[in-house]
Amino acid sequence: MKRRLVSILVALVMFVAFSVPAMAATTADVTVSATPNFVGIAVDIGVQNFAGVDAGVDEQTITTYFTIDNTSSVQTDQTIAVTTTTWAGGVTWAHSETATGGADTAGLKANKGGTWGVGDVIVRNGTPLYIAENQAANTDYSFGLKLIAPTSFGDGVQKTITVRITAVSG
Amino acid sequence: MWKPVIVVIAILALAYFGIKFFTETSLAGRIIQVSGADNLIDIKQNGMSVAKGKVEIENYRANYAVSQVVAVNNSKEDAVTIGLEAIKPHQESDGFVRAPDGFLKWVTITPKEVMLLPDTNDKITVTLVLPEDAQPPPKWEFWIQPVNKSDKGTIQAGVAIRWLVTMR
Repeated sequence: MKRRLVSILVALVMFVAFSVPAMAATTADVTVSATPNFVGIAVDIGVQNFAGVDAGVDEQTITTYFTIDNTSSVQTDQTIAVTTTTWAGGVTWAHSETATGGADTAGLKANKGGTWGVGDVIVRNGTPLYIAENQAANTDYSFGLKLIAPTSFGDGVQKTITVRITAVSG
Repeated sequence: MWKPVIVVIAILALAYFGIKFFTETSLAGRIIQVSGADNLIDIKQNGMSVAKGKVEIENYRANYAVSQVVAVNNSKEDAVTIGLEAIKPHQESDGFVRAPDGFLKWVTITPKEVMLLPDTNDKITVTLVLPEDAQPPPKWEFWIQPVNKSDKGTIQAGVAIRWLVTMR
């Protein structure tokens, strides 16, 4: 009888030891919250046209040509990217992720209000880079774009690619 | 002599697994709505904004659905078609790593896009459900990015909502 009681006691201890943590784990609450971080940006010039591009000759704006109106109420991180891997139109150009020109291959660089060649940002399609990291709330900024021209063209048809600046809460 | 012990252990084991099974399956399919008013995205001339830039989920695990209603408003003078897309973060920050490959299967967006006349709005629902066999990192992140499909500009400004997920 005594052994039976001990056995039952041992079994109960095992039950409590294993089952309580398991049940506690499955009933822990998933919590979800949406942070009211207002993030908003707009660009003053929505279209850029580099006209009369020559093979192997880069074209650029001044580094304050475009202005981002940043109405975000919080600090933001802002990246710059192209939205496709090619430039559309006629014989398409490949977009260089290293901003290196080649045969029917072009690249883009951006500079945030500085001097070209100092702190340039490569404009990529995959894994976009920061154009404005830790941008202060409600603080505008300007930037320019540089076209790294192809070394040779397959045709003279106009090429187009879209550049997008994306802001997220920092 | 051992017979009663075996019987008791068997009964308790059955009880344990029964309770565990019931607890887990009864939670399956539970939907958690992101609290508060709808998240508002406003489409403007050459830009956009979002009212709530972060969705933070903690203690997350499989079989829980987290859902957020996003209200999209068109403040432009032209009609626009707006889609929401789930994408990997452009950069990693705050200790959260990029969502693993295949995460798009965990995110549903309904409808995929809406067409909005000037000064009108519509709603899109974003839902995250982690399948049982998924093994994401402890802290991972994806973005919900509104895309103005009517924007013909070559220089565009946009925003994204960070979904920050901390696993149990």
